[in-house]
Amino acid sequence: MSDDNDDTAQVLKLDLPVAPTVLIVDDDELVLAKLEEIVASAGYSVRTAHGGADAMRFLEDGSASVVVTDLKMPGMDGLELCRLIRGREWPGYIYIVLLTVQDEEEDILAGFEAGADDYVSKRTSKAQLMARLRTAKRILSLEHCLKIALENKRQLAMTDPLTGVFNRRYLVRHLGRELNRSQRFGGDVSLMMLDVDHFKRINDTFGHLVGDSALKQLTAKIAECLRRATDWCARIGGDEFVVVLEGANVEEARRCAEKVRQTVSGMSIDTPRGPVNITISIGISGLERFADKQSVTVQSLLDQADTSLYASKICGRNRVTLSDSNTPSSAREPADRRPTHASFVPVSSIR
Amino acid sequence: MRASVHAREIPQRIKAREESLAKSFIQRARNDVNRFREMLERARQGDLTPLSEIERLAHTIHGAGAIFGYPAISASGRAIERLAAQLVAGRDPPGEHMVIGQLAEITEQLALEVEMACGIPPDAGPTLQPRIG
Repeated sequence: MSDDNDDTAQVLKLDLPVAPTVLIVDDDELVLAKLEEIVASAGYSVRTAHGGADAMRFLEDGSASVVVTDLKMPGMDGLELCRLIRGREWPGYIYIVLLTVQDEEEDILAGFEAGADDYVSKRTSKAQLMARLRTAKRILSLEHCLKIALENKRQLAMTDPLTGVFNRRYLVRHLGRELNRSQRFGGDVSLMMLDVDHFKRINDTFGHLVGDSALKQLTAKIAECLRRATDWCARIGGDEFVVVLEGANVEEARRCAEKVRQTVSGMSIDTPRGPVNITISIGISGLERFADKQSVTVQSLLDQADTSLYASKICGRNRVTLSDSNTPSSAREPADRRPTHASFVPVSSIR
Repeated sequence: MRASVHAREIPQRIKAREESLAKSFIQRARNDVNRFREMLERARQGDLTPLSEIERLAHTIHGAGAIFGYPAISASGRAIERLAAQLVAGRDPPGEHMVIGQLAEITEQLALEVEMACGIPPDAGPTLQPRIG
């Protein structure tokens, strides 16, 4: 809990990477020039617009995050501009300062009602205007910090902390999305499930630190073999991983799996007793292997891959196995009820 | 050495630019006063169509006078803006001539203030507190 608080405090200390760009809106050319001079001399990037419509074009281009606008202007006035800005969605918050000579109570209230964050009289001092812009910067910095914190939390929620690959939650959510897309629009999706052969021995013999190190090195090797942006890996258990190959058929998945298997079988991990070689077993499943593609679920794909993985294990490990067509979802059944290796197509081994 | 020269040049450049803008404002206000006189003359003769333009120009003087640090000019602009708006809204048709007379008086007051402001830097102008500029 205190770590979380420390993280939040650190994030809230972050400042905007660059000073916000200020868009000054006024129909008076001389006022625009004067304000541009004042604001730019304080270190802000400045854009100017002669009216509301002009200002909206700048904002649509993402050119500014602070708007300092006059109230009374021909065409679209400051209030309408505020309402238009607030009525739309933007990539980031737009801080609005109404800068006007109309400073009656009812004008001020109308300004805030329309969505302004601040209301400043044109009779105010230069120093006060600068102070108001610093407040705008502070609010935008806060928003920036919160976005970073949110992104960090989002990353943590979908990442395996040990290896840095995705976690099971991400796998279920994104594989489901990819599966739906393939079912609706056609196309393939294949996956490989893999685990380390005799991983328990590594842990029991050398301790969990070595085991953890082995898993980190393994995921690095897997990452080396995945070349497409649409290929990704998730850790779903102790030493169990799933690699999803979006848009790939099982033959492509097999080639990729074979590459991973060979790469890993050539690696060794450091232990207190010297380098130790590890191997992995892989099971492959794919949408194309199902007769009724519309009824396929994430679970049925995972079950099929798990059954193939099991076949790799009973056929001697360190190999890749493709599921046969319409493989039943029986991988987690008792061993004596699991399908025999005759149901599978072992495609590789070290022997 | 180079940095210190550069550091001196920036405030000088800003100051020169601000003085130039203030001069442009005063020159424009002079022109606006002349336009007010012409338009009010037409109004006296029964042509009230220029009143919207008077209101618009006066609003500009009201805002820009405040921004450039000339509160008296800004206040006169405000007074003209309000009276012109009253006539445009047609709130008091029998009192139109009286209001036009008031507008002429304030215009001459504005003319005086603009002439007084000539040569007076805005920061040294008759402001109660440091203004923008």
